[in-house]
Amino acid sequence: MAVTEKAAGTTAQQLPYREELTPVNFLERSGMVHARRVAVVDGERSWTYAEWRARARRFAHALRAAGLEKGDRIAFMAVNSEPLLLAHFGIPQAGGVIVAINTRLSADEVAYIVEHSGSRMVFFSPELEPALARVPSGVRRIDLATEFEAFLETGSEEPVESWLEDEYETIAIDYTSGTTGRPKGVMYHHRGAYLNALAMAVDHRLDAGSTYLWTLPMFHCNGWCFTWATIAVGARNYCIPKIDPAQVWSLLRSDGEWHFCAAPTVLIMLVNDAAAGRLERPARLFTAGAPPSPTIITTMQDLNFQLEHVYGLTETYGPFTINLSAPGADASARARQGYPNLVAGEVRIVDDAMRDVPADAETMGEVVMRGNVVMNGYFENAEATEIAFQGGWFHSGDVGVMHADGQIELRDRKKDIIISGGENISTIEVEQAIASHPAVMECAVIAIPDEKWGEVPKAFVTLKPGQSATEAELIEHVRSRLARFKAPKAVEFGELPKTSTGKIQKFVLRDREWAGREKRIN
Amino acid sequence: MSAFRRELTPVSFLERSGAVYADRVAVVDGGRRFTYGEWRARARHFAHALRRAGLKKDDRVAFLALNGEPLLLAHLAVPQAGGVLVAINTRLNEAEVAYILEHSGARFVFFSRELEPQLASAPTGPRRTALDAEFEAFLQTGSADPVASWLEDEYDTIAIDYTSGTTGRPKGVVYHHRGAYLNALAMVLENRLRADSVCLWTLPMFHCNGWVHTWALPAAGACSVSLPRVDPPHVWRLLAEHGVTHFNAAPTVLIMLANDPAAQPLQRRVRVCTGGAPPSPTLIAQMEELNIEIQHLYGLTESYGPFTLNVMQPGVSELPLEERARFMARQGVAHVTAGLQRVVDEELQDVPADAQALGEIVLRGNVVMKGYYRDEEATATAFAGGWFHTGDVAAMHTDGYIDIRDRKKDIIISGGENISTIEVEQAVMSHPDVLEAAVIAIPDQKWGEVPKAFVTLKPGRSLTERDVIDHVRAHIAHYKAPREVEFGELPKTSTGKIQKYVLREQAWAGRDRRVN
Repeated sequence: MAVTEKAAGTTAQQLPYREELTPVNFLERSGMVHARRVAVVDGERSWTYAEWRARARRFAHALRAAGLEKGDRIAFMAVNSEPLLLAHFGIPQAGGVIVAINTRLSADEVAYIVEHSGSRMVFFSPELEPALARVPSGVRRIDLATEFEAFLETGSEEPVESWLEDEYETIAIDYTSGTTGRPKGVMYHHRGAYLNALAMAVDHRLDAGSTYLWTLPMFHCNGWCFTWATIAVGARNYCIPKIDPAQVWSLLRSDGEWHFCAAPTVLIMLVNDAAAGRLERPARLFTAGAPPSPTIITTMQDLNFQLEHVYGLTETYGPFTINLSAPGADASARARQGYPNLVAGEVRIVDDAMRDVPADAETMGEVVMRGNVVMNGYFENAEATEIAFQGGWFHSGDVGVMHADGQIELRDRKKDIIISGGENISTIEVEQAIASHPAVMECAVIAIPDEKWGEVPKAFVTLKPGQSATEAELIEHVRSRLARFKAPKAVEFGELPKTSTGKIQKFVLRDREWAGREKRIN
Repeated sequence: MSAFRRELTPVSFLERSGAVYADRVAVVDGGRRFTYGEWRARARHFAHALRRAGLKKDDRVAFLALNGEPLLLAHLAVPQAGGVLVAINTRLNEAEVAYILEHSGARFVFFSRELEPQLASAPTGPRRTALDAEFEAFLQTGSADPVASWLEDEYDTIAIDYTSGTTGRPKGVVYHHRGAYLNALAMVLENRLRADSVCLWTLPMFHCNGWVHTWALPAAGACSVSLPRVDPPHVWRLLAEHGVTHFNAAPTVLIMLANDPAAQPLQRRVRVCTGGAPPSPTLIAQMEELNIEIQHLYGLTESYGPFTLNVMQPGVSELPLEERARFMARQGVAHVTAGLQRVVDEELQDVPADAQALGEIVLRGNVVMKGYYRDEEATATAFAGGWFHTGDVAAMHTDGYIDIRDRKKDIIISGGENISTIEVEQAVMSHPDVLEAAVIAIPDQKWGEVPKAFVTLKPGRSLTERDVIDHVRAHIAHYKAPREVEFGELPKTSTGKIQKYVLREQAWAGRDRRVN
């Protein structure tokens, strides 16, 4: 349409300027607006927003001084800590891309990610140094305990000139376990991060008086975008390197209005701890990763927690939907995954032809999404990206039903992923590890329900004729190749159910293990 | 649109809330009530009806209406249909209304019956629909089916808000979907709007689209309680009856409410955003006693309403009232999605942040208008140097808070409404006995500022103050007429230019600011 015909005013091209959406601006603003409020607490150290903004600028300048060019990937292999949180601002402010690596991965997996992402530097917590054993020597390493402060000194607190030209530029690459075994790098852009951060702030009811406790790993979808959300509103971030239930209870009882996120496994740990007890002042939390059981929901509410159930994937910047049931709603209502959040977009449940299944809460289909908080692709993996976006929607690989009121509910998982204690485990990856044992002919790995972890892997193995191996041997074999948490908890030997064409029927195994349960996920 | 891009538009807020908050009340208007499920269907009806009636993408749809459900509905339905909303100031006279309708080229005019006389000079081309049974019948021609989006780009226009400018003729400020969305999102977050929030519509919806609350409230799933006129006893009744948690108003309205005999402390704490003039210490104290929390904000039509907020700082609430009020009188800092505010000199350099040096407030960000409709020259002037020039003069505190002290542009802000001094001068001077006139703002307890005219009569003529005021009222909206008229010589430069600042100095002697 010609500009003169475009009736009401100017077009985008004629705007006096463009202002890109980026979470970097959250800290630039909060550094002034909340200057005297505490931004981050980590052990004995704390920083006000003014101090912390200066620190982020230092980090950005230091990275540029060290040769960072626009778009360069910078990896972090770190426990939840102030430097990792700082990186969420310093790296993109410098024009780089943050790659926050899952701290539970093996040396092999870590090396893969560093190489695949082309990260030129890796910052690490000293306790995780062994995991860097296979990282190529060309990658510069910085020990967060002994070398980080000196590194920051090489930068200045001057404003950092922005290199951001388009809010669709990548801010982070989050590696996630996929079905093919090798993790894929999910690309987040500045716009999606900005928007989901605001939605998280709104739904978690964060403001300048809030304290956010870092129970959730920052490497999970950049802390489900809370790394950016807390800063947008001037909240106080309280970093803890690991979850110590007694410490968590003590903190929740201390001064402040507490907010946090955690997988149901963590909640179960907390309520079963000796320190558990009803809070005087309510704490607010999001949980996801597995549908929380009615038991845990009721227990948490009785202890004065305001619990909200969210759902999403790495590919959707973490939480995409939220369950907004009223506090008195029954257990089944609370277990649904709900509706897209305020900024997310749309979700559908579709059949193989991409048609909506009937909204009868019975007919299952795949959960597909579209909107501003869907990734724009897998890093250097055009093929996987194309597959993921077939038909113009992002395919989650999760299977669910649609309720008449528009809420979705998950029932199973299409892609062969187990979610154990909030962590993704690719069954195919585990199968490949088992199959590499000389005595194994073939195997199938499925998720089985577990009280504590939600789900754990179980292997069904057929040995080669005349060969022998014990359950313990096979488990150890897997541990030597993959992160320990991915090894099966149980191994059963025998024949595998197969179709007439010889394809292993994992659903038969699942049906047996999950008999009597309504869902095939936990 | 692709799987990972969706244009930012407030239309999505009601589409979502219609499902997520289906059973919650969206709007209460007199005896009528609509849930979000019902209200989303109504918006779709309206959108389809507009398209059926021939609306094409970007067509302007004007509303001359009191606050009410139909005007609120229009904020979602008109852009959903692909149109552009022009919500006209209901206090303008027929000539002013006609000008806006002609300038905007509106193809549709929806109006409250009681305002029909103001359409007397309006062009007859646009289709007119009264907001009574006629409107309901119009809605019936649509359907509740989903509406296919015609939105190509979030920078497409969603509304044109006409504002009094210094040149006398109002200018059409163009809003895009993206700015409306982002400012609404900020209001949800900064104002803590939630599904259980209840907002009373004390603020005219034609003011920056209700300071973008017309979009923010549906985003949050909150309840809007309609209010066609601000009648203090009625407001107090509604505040209690509906468990109101939020409302917005200029300080003038708050003063009226606080001083009304019906005023009494509210059971439920209410958050009030106020702007257009700083709240006085008296008002702040009165509000606190009534259990009302004031949030001072600043912005212009050109910034979608709220751009800065006076963000509370640790320790301020413990300060004595006078100091607290002084702090709260500052306009503050850009809100979370707004952008940047600076105070600059003529060379666009920042003035020292010493709370003394004065400069002009300039803004940039996602919530600054696209430009003035059909006025490239004014747009270019407003954006000189790449920043939007507000015409407000302020100092900058060391903590980044701006503090308005004067106004560059010849605008009076009286009871929250802009009045162009030049427009008033022209009206005064159109009297045959007037030789020349200058109009300035003078401080007023109730209204913040009111216009005062200084008039030199032609030799041998005589006029009373009343004559001048009546004359002006016959030509422009009544609220713009001077409250006082002084006759005599006007201070001038050696070249004969009228020195309005001398008149201002006299009128504002003893005060730190030249605005109120």
